[in-house]
Amino acid sequence: MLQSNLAYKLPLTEEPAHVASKDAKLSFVHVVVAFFAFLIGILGGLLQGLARGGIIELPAWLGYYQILTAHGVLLALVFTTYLIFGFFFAGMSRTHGAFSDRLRKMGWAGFIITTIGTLMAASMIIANEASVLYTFYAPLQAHYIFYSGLALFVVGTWVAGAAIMAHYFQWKKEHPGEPTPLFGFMATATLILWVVAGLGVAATVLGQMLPWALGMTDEINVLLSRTLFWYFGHPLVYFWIMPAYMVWYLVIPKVIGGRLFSGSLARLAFILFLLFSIPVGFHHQLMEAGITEFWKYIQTVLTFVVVVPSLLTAFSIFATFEQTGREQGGKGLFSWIKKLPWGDVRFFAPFMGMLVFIPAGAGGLINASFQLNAVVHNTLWVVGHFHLTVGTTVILTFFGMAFWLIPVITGRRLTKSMNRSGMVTTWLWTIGMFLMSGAMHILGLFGAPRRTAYTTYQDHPQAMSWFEGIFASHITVAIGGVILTAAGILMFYNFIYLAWFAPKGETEFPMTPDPDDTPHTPALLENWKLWIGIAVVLILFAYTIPIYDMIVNAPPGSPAFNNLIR
Amino acid sequence: MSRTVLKTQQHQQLKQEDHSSLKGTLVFVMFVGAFIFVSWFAVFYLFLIRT
Ligand code: HEM
Ligand SMILES: [Cu+2]
Repeated sequence: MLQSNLAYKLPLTEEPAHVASKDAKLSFVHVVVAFFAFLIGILGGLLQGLARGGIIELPAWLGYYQILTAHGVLLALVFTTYLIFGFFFAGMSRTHGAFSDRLRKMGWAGFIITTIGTLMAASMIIANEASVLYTFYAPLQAHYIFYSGLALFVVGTWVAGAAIMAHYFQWKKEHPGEPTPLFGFMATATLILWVVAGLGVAATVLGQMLPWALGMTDEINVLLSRTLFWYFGHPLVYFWIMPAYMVWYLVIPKVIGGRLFSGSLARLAFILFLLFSIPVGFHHQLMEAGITEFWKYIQTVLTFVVVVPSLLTAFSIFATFEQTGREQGGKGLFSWIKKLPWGDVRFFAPFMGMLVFIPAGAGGLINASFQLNAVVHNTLWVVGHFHLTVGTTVILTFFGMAFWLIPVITGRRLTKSMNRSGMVTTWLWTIGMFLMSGAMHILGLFGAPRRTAYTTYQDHPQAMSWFEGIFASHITVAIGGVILTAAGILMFYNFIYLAWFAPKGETEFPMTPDPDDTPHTPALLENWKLWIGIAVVLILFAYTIPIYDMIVNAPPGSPAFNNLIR
Repeated sequence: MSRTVLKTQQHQQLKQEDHSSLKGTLVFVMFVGAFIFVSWFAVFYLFLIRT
């Protein structure tokens, strides 16, 4: 196999990178909301770290669980979702041509609905009427405006998602028999996943929580509501990671001067995510009563299947690096690594995210294994875990993306000093997270619980030791949190500069040239009806009997507990 | 003279393995596998000694 995967070996027939200016505007508003949510969110994180470590005491008007709710909602839900849609609108315009006026209007409608929902939910969190954490587990009860806001948030993303998918299928219709552009293929897989997953959250919010919060029902089926939440909650994490993978598959090869290793492998990975990331929610409920071992077992097996596409991704990306490094003259087992553009933040920030994904993914396999889950469940280990996955792998990839996406959509240039600032941001975030998340992992193994404000458990020696270790200590968590916050504020500055102050100019939207195997893309991979059908069958298989059981043999309903954590 | 021959030979050898060699990737995926394995068993050990 001596064929080359490299761009410079082939005639360059690329059209100029271009995002239509009206689409750029729609993308830009998403990015703006995302970064403002990010700023508030990380300040919440800082206060949590300091408060838990006993370094500061929160003022009486600010509750720990109130901030924790704001932190989770703003970072995990708002920041991620808005940035993803900003990326999708710009990327679709770049790879599939400008949106039609009708579809662009639909995109705006989605943005407005989502934003109204966000503001409703946020106002209730600020008013301390919704300190129910970002998982809004019953029987904690929030104000009905909070639930209505959540519902609008989800519906708004569906409308925006429909605009993007319609743009993709339009292209497909106009190019019969051609493999669709990878960007659209992957965005569509991600959005189908999001829509199907959102049905679960819509069902529990509209069918259970809203009537309950409005006083139309007195009691709630807690088991069912949690199950519907996690039916949504696991695909949610893939909704974060798939766009990050899109950056890895489609953008990074171009940034390093190469070409994606294989398009079909990338498509296959995304189809596998679509199929297997929904019927697995029980791996978040392994310690929960009311679900038989048999169904927990089935969903655990499916969970391990969904590891495969992530392993495919790790292989693909590394192979792309190696091929590119070698094509550029790198030799030996590893010295080709020197050929990669280490000083370029567009590469370096996502690369650090990839590196962190190794321990993050290993931690995920531990979480998903029944007996091991018993060791780590509800401890700080879990918090350490998702600060690596979403809080570093996804976030650093999105940071790296911001350095070209924002200039592209604002018609500006990434300057040398901004690049340097981005490198500093990346290092600070990585170091801060190493301390914070590392300490959280170990504290968790020692039994320190998550979602707990400052406490010494009446000076119990075990709990006291959590403040005394050198590395395994709440103090280390707090120090890591301070460094992270510094990195976050710097990133916010980078955003402001790139959005409004950087010099005007043309910036490239990096996109890998079509991989060599593109003409041989199996038509089967593009058969959406088939994949959606199989996904539905898998979901019905994994969930029908347990959910039927939860309804027919329902546990006693629970009244609201809305003053416990205020 | 013989040194030059050797050099070209070496050069050719390197060239051959260059283009499509994915040896580094092989080592990398083996490392990832080993890392997963070790960390999994470390926590499994904790589970065992705590029961
Ligand atoms: C400055 C950076 C950050 C700091 C200092 C920080 C700190 C913390 C701390 C101390 C906790 C909670 C501990 C507890 O369980 O009591 C927490 C929870 C959490 N963080 Fe962060 N974090 C940061 C960034 C992020 C980012 C970027 C994300 C996601 C994109 C994120 C998502 C979450 C989520 C989802 C929770 C769980 C909330 C819950 O248990 O309901 N954090 N964070
Ligand atoms: Cu999960």
